[in-house]
Amino acid sequence: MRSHQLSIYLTFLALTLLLAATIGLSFVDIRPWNLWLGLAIATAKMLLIAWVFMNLAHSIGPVRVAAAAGLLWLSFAIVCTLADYTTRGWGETPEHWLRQTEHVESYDRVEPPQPEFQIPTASGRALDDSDLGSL
Amino acid sequence: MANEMSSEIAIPYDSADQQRSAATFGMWVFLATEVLFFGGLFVGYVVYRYEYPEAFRTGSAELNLWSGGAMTLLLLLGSMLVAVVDHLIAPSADNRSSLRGPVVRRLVATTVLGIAFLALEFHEYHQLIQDGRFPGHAFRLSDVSSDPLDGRSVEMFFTLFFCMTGLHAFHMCLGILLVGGMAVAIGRSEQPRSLANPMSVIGLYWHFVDIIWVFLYPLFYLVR
Repeated sequence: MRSHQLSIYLTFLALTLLLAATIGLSFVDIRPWNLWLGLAIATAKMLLIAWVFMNLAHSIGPVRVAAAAGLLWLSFAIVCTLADYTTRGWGETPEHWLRQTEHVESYDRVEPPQPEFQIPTASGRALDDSDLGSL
Repeated sequence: MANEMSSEIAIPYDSADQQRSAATFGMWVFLATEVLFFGGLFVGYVVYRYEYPEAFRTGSAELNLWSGGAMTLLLLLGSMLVAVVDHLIAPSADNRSSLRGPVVRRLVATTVLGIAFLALEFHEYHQLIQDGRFPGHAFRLSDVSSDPLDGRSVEMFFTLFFCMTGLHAFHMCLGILLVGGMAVAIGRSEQPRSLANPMSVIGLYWHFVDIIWVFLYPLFYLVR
């Protein structure tokens, strides 16, 4: 068990070095790699904390699944959102999708719908508004 | 030792190990929901940073990089102390000497580190508000000529900054109360090891709050 305590101290040392690396990276202009390297270092720190401090290394399978589930759904949210924003304005509708179509004039006329069923009355004619008074 | 542990087993568990696994699993499921709780704000950050990268550089330059670095170090140190406490108090630990003193000292130190973190954060909030960097009518920024939204996109950076770090600070307050409360409980307990499960669960929460900050620091303070 002493070795576990030693691994906790070594992990803290590694985290401190990674923190120094993150700060150092911000003084070097290698855009756009600053962002990706910064996130990679943050991910390395997260894995160290989860694996050693949060004892994921000695956890049962369902615990590891629960740990991965949150990150998985967060990645879905970020990837799907970026899939929208990064592809906006990627090009107009392709030309061959815009074929001229024949204009059929009869399609412009809209016939009023005919009732399929009329309530029969004693006189044989269809029921209309004048019958409302006799109801 | 076995009898001492078996007397702590709650219904419906068969063994102390099973009870500990259930507590740990339940906490991890809660932490997964917490990831999604913060996740909405992270998605908002991604969208606005993608749309207005220059505004994020302008806003980030207003933050104190060294203060943020010191805050990160305080949290990492606190996490290390909590991990050691969790190791010392665990039922499987072979340390038979009195562990109340070492455990309580480390928990008190963690609480102090957490308070120091919040003090630095609130000092920075105070400075930013004084300089007119709080979103709203009082927001002002001298150079907005290159801003596509006439200053509003930099304001959006600070909106996200205050929302995300504020939500994190709220979690820190809860963590400080929990860790401080645990120090008191263990200090008063006749059998500190009987509190191993709550300590483990609270430790997971503290580490989670630490991880959130590990991402917030480069995303806000180190934008280049």
